[in-house]
Amino acid sequence: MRASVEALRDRLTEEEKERCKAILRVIAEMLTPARHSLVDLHLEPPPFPYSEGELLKMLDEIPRGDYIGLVGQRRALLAAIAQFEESLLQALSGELSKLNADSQRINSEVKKLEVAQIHEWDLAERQHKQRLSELNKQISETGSNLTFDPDLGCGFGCHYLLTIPLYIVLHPFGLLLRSAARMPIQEQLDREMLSFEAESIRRGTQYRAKVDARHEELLTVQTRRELITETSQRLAEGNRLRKDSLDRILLPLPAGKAKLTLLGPLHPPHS
Amino acid sequence: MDLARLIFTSRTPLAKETRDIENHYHLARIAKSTQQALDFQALSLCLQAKHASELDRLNWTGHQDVARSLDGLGSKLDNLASLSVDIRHSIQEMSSVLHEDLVSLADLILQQQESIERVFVRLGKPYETSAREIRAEADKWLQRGMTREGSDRTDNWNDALRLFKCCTENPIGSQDYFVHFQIGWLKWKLIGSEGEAEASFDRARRLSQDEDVEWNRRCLRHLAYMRYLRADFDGAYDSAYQSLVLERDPLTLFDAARYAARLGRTSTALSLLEEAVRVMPSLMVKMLDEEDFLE
Repeated sequence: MRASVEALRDRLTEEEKERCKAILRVIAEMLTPARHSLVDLHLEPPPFPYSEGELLKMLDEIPRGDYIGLVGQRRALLAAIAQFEESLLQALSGELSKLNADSQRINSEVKKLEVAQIHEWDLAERQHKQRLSELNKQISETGSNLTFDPDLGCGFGCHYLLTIPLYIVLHPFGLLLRSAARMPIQEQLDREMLSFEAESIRRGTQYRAKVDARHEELLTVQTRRELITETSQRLAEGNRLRKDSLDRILLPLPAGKAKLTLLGPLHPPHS
Repeated sequence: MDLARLIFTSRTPLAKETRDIENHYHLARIAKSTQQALDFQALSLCLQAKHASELDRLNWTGHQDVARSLDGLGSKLDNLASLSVDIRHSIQEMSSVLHEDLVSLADLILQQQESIERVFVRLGKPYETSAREIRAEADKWLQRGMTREGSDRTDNWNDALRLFKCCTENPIGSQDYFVHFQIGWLKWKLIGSEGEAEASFDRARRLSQDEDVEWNRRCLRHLAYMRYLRADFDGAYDSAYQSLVLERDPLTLFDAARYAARLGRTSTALSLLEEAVRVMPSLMVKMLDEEDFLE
């Protein structure tokens, strides 16, 4: 029995050694690509609790380790992997939420621009209409002042017989005069129309440029978001695969520590 | 309170005196905090580690530190409490695994304490007032004896045993597995009569069956140990096996492995040991210090 117990001690220790080595290999396979993924995205990769030197030292020290020490090392390594994976995904999800916030900000800026633009246009249109109506009023006022009034003669107490020929002679002249008086206002009206059109075009171009800039920014954010999502999916898949391989490495170990379920049939008594 | 002094009967406890089954119940009744239970467990483990290291069976890189911490243990018995704190620190430095195992053991001890209090109240309810008073008085003297040494302990435990026996004369008391368990424990620790203790534990086991799984396991584990002490290794393995069917806890797995080893069933013993050590790595130290595995 004594020899068997000592052989069990050696076997368990040897198994634990191999387990630690296998875990160290998993770490080596995990660290570099995971770090590169983050560096490619210009993100700071999370630190791993052990440096490469320390991991190599661990590997060197394993052969002279004892069972309990090795179990401790295994647990520490597994905890380090879990922590690293969590920090990695946290870094990515942090970046993702930052990008989400960015795209929300851009969308709200575009909306604000739109509202401001509509407001500005409304105001400009109102001013323009007001100006136009003022000019129209001026035109009509100018015209009516200069129009010869057929009732004027009555005011002077003239006889109709005198008034009608005078009207015939003077009316074209009045029209001519009225038209001459309207001319500068019409020019003003035309200028107003032109300036309004020019201002509209200028404002439209400005607005388009601003919106285009935002859309470009949004596109950059979306592209980066897709990249981050893709990387985090890839890393999560890597984590899953790593968990599978760690599960295989740890296969003979029970999941729980304090309480055990019935793992398998015992040798019945008196067997 | 110096638990080691109260629980270990000799100044230099032998390896078998540090077995969990030998002192768990006593510890569960007197430990006031997880820390106290943890200190005692650390000390017990250190004693086993020292012994295993001396026998050169423990390939433990830190064993020299433990051995150094334990140098002159016998002469320092008066300061065991402070010494155990030093040892606990040295164990903590050695490996978090040991610390974790000791903490889970200490937690287990305190859980036992809660279950003892719970079952004491629950089973006491059907008694008449006078019988309930006798039962409470008996338990008081049992516990008081656990916290005393020398003749005070013997006298207190004698009083407790007499009162517990009175309880069994009551029709309800005769069906009280808590009372029968205490009688069994006192017959083992006070009188040293493993045969009578076995009978009491067996009765407690029968009465707790289908009533309280936790107590049933405790009774089975103690019953197994009494049978082992009486060299009835078949009976011991049988009881431990029944306890494992209820729950495969590492300490009972370890006990069952010892009994299987005594029966010469090496492969069964090894498979039980392996399962126990995988769940509780610190059992590796106990395994290498256990005379049942080394003969």
